[in-house]
Amino acid sequence: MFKFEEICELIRLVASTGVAAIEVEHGGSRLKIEGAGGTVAQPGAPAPAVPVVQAMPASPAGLVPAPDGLGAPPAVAEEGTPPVEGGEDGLHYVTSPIVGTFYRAPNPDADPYVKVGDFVEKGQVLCIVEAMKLMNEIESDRSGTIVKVFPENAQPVEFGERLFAIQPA
Amino acid sequence: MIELLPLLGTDFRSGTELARELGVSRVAVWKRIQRLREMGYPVEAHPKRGYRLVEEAPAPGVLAARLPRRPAGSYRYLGVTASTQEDLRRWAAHGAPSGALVVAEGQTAGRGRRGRRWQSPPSKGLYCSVLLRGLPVGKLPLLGLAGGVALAEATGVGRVKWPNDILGPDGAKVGGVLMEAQTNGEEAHVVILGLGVNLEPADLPDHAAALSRYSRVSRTDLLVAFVQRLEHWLDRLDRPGEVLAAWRRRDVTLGHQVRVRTRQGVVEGRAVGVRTDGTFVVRPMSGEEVAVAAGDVELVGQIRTMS
Repeated sequence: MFKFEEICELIRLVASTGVAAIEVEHGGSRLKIEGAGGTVAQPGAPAPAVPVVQAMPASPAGLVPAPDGLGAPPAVAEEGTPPVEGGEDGLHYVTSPIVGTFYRAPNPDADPYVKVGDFVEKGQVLCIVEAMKLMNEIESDRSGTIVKVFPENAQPVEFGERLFAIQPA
Repeated sequence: MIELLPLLGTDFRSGTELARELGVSRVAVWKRIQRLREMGYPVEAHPKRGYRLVEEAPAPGVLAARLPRRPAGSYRYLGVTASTQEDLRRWAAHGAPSGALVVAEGQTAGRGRRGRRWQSPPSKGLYCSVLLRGLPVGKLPLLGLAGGVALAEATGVGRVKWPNDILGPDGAKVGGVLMEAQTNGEEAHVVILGLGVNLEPADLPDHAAALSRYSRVSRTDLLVAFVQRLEHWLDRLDRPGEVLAAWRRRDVTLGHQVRVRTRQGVVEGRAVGVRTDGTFVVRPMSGEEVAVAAGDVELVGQIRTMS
């Protein structure tokens, strides 16, 4: 069963990102939350109209076809879940342009630049990859919703390694 | 309103003359001088001769004369600011050209690596940031080494320690280079190269020294030399071998036992080289060579070179 807080969190996610719909299965329950019309919310702009919540049995028969452009529901991945594989999943991957150390925040005391569920604009800073005394702010080259952060904070990353998966807006 | 600062150089100008050029009273000039001083500009006042910036101040007019090829409006000379890196980052967001340069008399929140502080007491050092635009991301590690070489050369006596510490001949740290980039895909559309050099003795951390211990270099001379050497190396980023050779000539660690502290642990061994990707290669007593991308290097047995 979904906890009340979890449902609230998902509603906030849908409302704040402008994603058309989210479907999540958890502990035998399936939950679908539809946003209002799939328009993309600008950060800081009022959220689209109140999302619609539908509780459904966790059977394929209960599946509601996803709206156009969303072949798969956006994955609401928690950190630590297996990486989303392949490029045919409609996700966009931001990779590391250099060998270095991955940092999620501008300095050790600050909040992360982004977390799973955040909507990011093209050009928004996602993380820092440090190499030598080079602090390299990696910007998103797409607008969309962060669905996965691959490396742990302060972990070494290789050239071309996946850093973020983004559900394009 | 016409600004007073651009009219001030390192030669005295009388209050009457400044008042006439600004179209204000001499009292108003005096008030503006006071305001510049509050902002951290080192303005000298002489009862007969008038006003000027102290002789070693990198005044815009002085710099323009020494670096005539630089485009007008690409230099900002600040009093005491939080951080030249932050100032240039904001300026870059508002269209600063590649090559734009910000120099401050002092910084209240000068930055080192990963949020560490760089002490920047007013008028005791060179604190500046340079903007470079449109570089391929792959060139950045080499640019970092080139920046360190340029600064070491500009000081005359400086040596380098990976990644970008500038040391005096006795191994004490006199300066450092920091690079902050904003990359999108394969292009770094903004690279801000920041440097701090201790010029005069101040309340410095242990293992640090002022350049004046080894040589008398004025702030403006150091700045001009750095800009020239940086331009020299920027033209050679396509020839990594030359940059690496220049770096090795100035380096203090190669061939020595080192201890490298990284976020992933400590690596100890002999420093054997630097690669074009900027990584520092260490050969442990046993096992394979390790290429370190980020960390602090310490010469084993020479504690003073801790950064």
